[in-house]
Amino acid sequence: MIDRGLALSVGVVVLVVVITRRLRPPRTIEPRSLLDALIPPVLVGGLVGRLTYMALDDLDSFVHVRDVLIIRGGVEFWAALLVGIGVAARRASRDGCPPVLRLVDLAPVALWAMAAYDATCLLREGCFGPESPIGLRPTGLGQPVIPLGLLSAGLLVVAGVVVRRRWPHAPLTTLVAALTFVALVRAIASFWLPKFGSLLTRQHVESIVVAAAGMAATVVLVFTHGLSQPHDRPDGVDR
Amino acid sequence: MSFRRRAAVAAVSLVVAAGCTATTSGGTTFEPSGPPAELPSEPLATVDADQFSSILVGLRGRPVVVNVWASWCGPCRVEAPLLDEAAAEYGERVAFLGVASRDERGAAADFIEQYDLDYPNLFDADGEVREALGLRGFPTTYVFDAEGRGRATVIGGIGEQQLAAQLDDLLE
Repeated sequence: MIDRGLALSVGVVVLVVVITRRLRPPRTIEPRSLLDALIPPVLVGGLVGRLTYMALDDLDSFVHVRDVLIIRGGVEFWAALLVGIGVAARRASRDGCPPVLRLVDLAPVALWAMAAYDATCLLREGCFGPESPIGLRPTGLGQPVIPLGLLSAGLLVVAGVVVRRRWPHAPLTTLVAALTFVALVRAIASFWLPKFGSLLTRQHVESIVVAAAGMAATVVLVFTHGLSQPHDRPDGVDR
Repeated sequence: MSFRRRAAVAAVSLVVAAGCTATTSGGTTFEPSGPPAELPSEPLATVDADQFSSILVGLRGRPVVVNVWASWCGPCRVEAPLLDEAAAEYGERVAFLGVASRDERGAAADFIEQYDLDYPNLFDADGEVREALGLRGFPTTYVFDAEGRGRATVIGGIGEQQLAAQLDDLLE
């Protein structure tokens, strides 16, 4: 059996990456190598995220090894993202490119890919949010709701545009600010997403922690590094 | 095609194949009817389609979540803790009912024990219940409103957001 919704979402994300490769090619790698550059971080990050979720939720779930592949079961977002970033950084070092520069170069693609995934909530279980007279009505609900997935997708698209335009100024600050923005979007959206009970979910708490730490780090970096200092580009890296 | 790209395609294919059909449609065409009946007190009681229908009629007055599962189904294992958590959270406000179908009774009982499911589960020995519900895949979750009308059918694992949204909507 096929998880059609998830498969369609993945297909849309891959399509967005391919379009990005053509319209907004990366600067630190050959455009045709973009998928090759993204695949290892995504796969390793995704696997770690899935294993982390299973370990935090229920250790007994490891009895059935194949359940690791049931992505719909849940993926620990921040574990997946941070491990993916680590893998991408390591590969950049191996390529002789400053890791921060590579990460900032790939950040817009990652943000647009996340936006595509969020937007495809329409293809999966539905785009949920607080009730509203204007909005979308997911199947099974009697009232329309504000589609938070679509809103967050829009915000992530804008973030990707901003990050790309900042190249190559203050790459570390830009990168940390981008991560902070993702955390803020997730943290704020989580307040309105339906859940069991009134307590914050684990992933919601994680997003709040990352957002808080990210904001503090961004402020420190702005004061210590400024906002306009360009990074020295390695040989062969385009403007 | 580079090795990495082939590996990625293979990985995505595996993920896609390992999941189960996940689609949501409006309420099922199944309409509970007949005289109301109490839930059997024995665990994993065997029911036929008519008995199942009567049980649902007896549960009217509050929303009902019916989850059809099997012990061999991976996504069923993944969603079981979520449904148990939901049942605990919503308490008496929502009735949760599991139906083990196309399964061995012993394996189904082990599944219930392994996941410590506190909500009642029935045993669909002859497949009548899944046929009456029009089951198309495992697991499938049916949400009925307080009047017994089917509001949503989720084929494949149901997520917390989706279930919470539907139940909160019905309870308003």
